[in-house]
Amino acid sequence: MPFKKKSFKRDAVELVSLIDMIFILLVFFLVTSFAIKMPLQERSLMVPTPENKPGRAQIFIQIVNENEVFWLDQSANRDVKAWDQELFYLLGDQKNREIISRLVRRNTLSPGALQQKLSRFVSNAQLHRNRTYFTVVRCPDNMPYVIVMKILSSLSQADNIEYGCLGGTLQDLLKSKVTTGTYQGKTVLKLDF
Amino acid sequence: MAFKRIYEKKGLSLTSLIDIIFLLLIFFMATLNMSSVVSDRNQGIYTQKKFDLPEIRNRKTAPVQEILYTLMLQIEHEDPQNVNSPLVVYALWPSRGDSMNISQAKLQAIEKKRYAYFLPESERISNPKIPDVSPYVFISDAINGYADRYYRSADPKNHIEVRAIQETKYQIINHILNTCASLGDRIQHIYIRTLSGE
Repeated sequence: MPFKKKSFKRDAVELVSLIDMIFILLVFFLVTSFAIKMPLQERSLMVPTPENKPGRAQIFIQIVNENEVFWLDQSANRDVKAWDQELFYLLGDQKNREIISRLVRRNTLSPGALQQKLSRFVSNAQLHRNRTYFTVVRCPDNMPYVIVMKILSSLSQADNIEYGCLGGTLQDLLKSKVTTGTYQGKTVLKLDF
Repeated sequence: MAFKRIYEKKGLSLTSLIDIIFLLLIFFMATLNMSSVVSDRNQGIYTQKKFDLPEIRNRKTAPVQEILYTLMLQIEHEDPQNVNSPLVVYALWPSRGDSMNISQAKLQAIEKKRYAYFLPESERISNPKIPDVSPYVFISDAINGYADRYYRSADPKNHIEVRAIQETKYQIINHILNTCASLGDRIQHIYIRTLSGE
């Protein structure tokens, strides 16, 4: 008499579920590896105290908010000169305001673009070790100071970059006087804030 | 006697298949976003996109056993575990023989009431438990007091330290910098210690 064979089901891991699980783990670790940062690391940074007198800087960085930074360097001299001639019909204060507004519109960067510019600036400074570069970072009072520290930390990678930080908002800057002048035979931008 | 053979159809389960497809879709969506480049509309700069993932912000300072050699202004929440507790500035003075660590100096600062709260004026006055001292005045007094005692002349080595949680407003740091600047060349720089996850 024929009997039913006992069917033994192999307890194997189902392929589809396995792939499913692997992908879930992959996505989880991918996301958490970016999200989790090593806590309790302390970073120390030397910051010079400001002097209450006019100073010069090759780079001027004004923090606008957490997502925008106004970057001013020597490349702005040309624009200011051109606008100065273009806006001949405006009176002193009006012309200044217009020039500053145009500068801000043209030179406001996202955090990513700022990081890119900083890296390029630091690399350039490291290539020209015989030169000294001056940089000023200006930050509004109500912003977390850690934003300034991040910028200064990037700048401190090159020994020949001198930096300093000041307090102030973009609104103050918009009211400041902008003129071009000469320093050691080069055209420079004068900001009076 | 005839027996029916049962053939089990081997194939992919539809539900699992959909599950995998969606996972793949999310995976490629996420990784594409990470690797894509964006252009800065004003500058024409091409840069790696900074994606916005949650970040752990350190809200407390580490219990450091480091020896204190100069004045340290430590800014943190009164209860470091509770971010809703008020922000306090402690003036940590080093011991004469440079043998005190940061934790011990903080305990001494509490004992000698060398601290001030960052609270709205009205709240500070209405709470009798809280010393009625403006934190900014307290900071200035601490720096001036320390400089008058130890940094009477200009020396590039003279410095003070600031240890602050990341949320500390720039206004406070700016006040410390300006107070040091008002002393001329007696304190030419400060060291700022930031707790960072980076």
